[in-house]
Amino acid sequence: MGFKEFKMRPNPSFKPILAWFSCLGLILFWGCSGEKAPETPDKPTVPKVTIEVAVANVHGDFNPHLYDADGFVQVFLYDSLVGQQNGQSVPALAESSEISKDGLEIVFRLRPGVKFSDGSPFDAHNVKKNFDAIMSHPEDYDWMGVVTSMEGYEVVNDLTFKVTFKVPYYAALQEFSSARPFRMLGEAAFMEDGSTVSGIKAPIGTGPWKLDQYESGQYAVFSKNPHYWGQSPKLDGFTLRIIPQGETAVSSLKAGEIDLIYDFFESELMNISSFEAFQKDENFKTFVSGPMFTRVMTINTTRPPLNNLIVRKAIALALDRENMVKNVFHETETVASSYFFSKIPYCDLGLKSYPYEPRMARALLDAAGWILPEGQSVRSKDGTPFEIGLYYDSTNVVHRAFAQIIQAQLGEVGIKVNLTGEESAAYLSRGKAGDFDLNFSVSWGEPYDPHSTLNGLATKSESLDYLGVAGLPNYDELAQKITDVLHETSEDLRQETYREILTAIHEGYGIVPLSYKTNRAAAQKNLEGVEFHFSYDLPLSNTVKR
Amino acid sequence: MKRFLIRQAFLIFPVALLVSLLAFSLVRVFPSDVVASYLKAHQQTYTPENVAMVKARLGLDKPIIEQYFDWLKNAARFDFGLSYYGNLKVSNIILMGLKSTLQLTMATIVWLLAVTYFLGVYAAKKPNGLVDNLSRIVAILGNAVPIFVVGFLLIQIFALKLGWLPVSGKLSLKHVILPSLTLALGNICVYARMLRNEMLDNAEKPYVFYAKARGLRTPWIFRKHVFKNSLLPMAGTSGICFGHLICGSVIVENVFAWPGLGSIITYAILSRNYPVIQGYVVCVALIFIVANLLSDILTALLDPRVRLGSAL
Repeated sequence: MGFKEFKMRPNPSFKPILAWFSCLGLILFWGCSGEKAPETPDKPTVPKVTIEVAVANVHGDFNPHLYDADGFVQVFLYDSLVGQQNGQSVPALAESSEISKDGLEIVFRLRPGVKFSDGSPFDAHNVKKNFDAIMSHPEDYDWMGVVTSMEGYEVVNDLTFKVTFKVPYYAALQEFSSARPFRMLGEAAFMEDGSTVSGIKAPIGTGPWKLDQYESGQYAVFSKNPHYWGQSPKLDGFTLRIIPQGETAVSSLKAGEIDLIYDFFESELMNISSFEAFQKDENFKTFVSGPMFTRVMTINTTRPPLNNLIVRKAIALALDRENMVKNVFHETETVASSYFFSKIPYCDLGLKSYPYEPRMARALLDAAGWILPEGQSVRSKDGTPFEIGLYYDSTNVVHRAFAQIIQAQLGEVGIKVNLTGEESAAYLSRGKAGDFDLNFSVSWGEPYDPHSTLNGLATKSESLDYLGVAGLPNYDELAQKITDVLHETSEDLRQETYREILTAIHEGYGIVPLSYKTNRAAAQKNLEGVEFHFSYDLPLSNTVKR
Repeated sequence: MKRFLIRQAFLIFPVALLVSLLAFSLVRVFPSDVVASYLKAHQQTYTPENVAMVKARLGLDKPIIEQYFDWLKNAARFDFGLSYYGNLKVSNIILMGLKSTLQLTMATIVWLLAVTYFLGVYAAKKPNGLVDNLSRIVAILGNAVPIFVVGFLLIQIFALKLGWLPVSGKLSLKHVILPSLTLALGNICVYARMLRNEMLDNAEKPYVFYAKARGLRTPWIFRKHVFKNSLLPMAGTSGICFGHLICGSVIVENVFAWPGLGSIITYAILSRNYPVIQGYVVCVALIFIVANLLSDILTALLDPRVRLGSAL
């Protein structure tokens, strides 16, 4: 008997299934209706003219003093005593900052009438409370010279705050302006014991924006801080929509669900091809920043045969970096001529970019004894083939693209490059352990350059670029200069010392500049005033939605 | 049945213990060490003083056995410590993600039941007919096309071309439709074919013929015998399926920016956030164990032979 012989009803047990559906539907409705959309009109906290911005993530508890929160969010909510613009310190919560002649004292004159987002007043006592909270665990900021050089601080009067130093530290104002930790938190937000290391009660700051709502993994809603001391933002507010997948963010912008994709630091929320598609599409606007930081290739100067200056120079000259950058970034990034671009303080030195001279590269390798045997493609010396390893972060598409081009270009002059892609953490560990011939790194960008990036070169544990200079014959002298320049009080001497340091690095051929990283943004056509500041920053104060 | 339940419940403990051991050891076999990850998360330098401080803070300076029992004691209370990022309790992060993932899984089950039932029953009713062929095509496509491709295809059609549904997020009930459909498709293919084959198989069994001979009405035979018996293999695998839906949501959640466990674990792995990784492993393993237990109970309820021990 076949099944077809049954003349059955198609829904033999429909009732239980209906019951199932009802239960599941109820659970779903309960669950999803609990997550209110930020654009729901009846929600009182949602402002009037707002935009939706895609970001890869928004972390944590919005603490201004720790690294748990994202730098750009800290800048939205909190202010520092001084700001930084075009390599110069500019007033922020302090109207002025006076540095004593010996460099051992900075007096901040605070802006009167500043209020926190909860309406409470800001004064020097509040600054001290913030400093107390930060300096109770200085080990968390031991990479900052301003923390390790600081001797003390005190309230002079309600609107004057003084910081004293054990040794002069010229980059103090630069570091006071960074996204963390020296941002001011409102009195009511500190924990009972006055600390912030274990968390804060609420994100109360003096910044242009205040946080209205945060749903972990989904969105964060910001609106104008009504008590903001500076020029009020042009938008009423914005929502950061957390979209970790680049393709999804791109689709969301196309579908009109979001207004702006802001690709900053190394978020890679929007790859070059997607960005170019937006550039060609007249329904969208695109924006590209100037240089933010430098992408470099580090040559391990401590390992043979790369410990030979002639070999390193040959490698640098064998690379057609102009074409490499054009192939990977098309027009969105430019080839880097030196470790730091000219906008960085003390770095406008006119250092000449390494030219593409494959013939000279071959001649240099010949001179160094690395001969290309007849009929072979890899050079050798005393029977040892010229074979080196290039390690890269396999999750980083830029690394991968650069690595493949470098392998091909060095192959042209008879150097065999073995590529090894590793996941991020393993790659970083290898870099710090110094177990590589070639690898990739980046400079830190403003406001940390050049002093913080260079400081990493002077101490073994800090930087992936350290081995790019550690094998130089004059390394000890170089490291000493890097340390000394931080405490130099004469502007002219400081400039001269930086010239010596950066020239030594450039002529050491251990750190090969590749491209100047840019930030990119794609937006709906009706968005104007999309700006760029630091590499980690997302400035929205002048953004307008027409 | 009572004895069956007690026996199954007791089997949970050794499995849970094994899982805890695995979760604890996981972080010790990763290529980068815990201290380096912690210091990186807190932007601290890798100096001997900082390493010693972090080891003391995380209890890594104690003997490994002591570390394990300390960790187990806390894990038993669902306390996996603090996330390296955001100063949040791992248990809270996991529970928040679990809620979203469960909602996605429930919606997936709605698709699964509805479409599997429709495709399976109608395909069995008319083998090689339109629905049967359609289900075959869906089965081939569903298994051959990677899940993220399916996700982006659905986004392209329903969000970008037609504009009916949103692309990403979890802002309304509408937002669950595309991710749940994507997650369901692969399983629908398997279960619809399974149901169809089982039903055709059961329709040939002598008990159907016997029931017919007893004069029972066809719909009754179908409902009480054929359909119920055909559900048995599906009930048996439903526990694993449920677990797979929870774990398999990793890709779908990332494609649709759904804030569930999948998104959390992806970010935790990329940022080497070990406490979250450990919490996730334990949580998902427990879900697997409980889901399997429930599917055993379901099978036992459907099949008296299992209940009475003859099939175990």
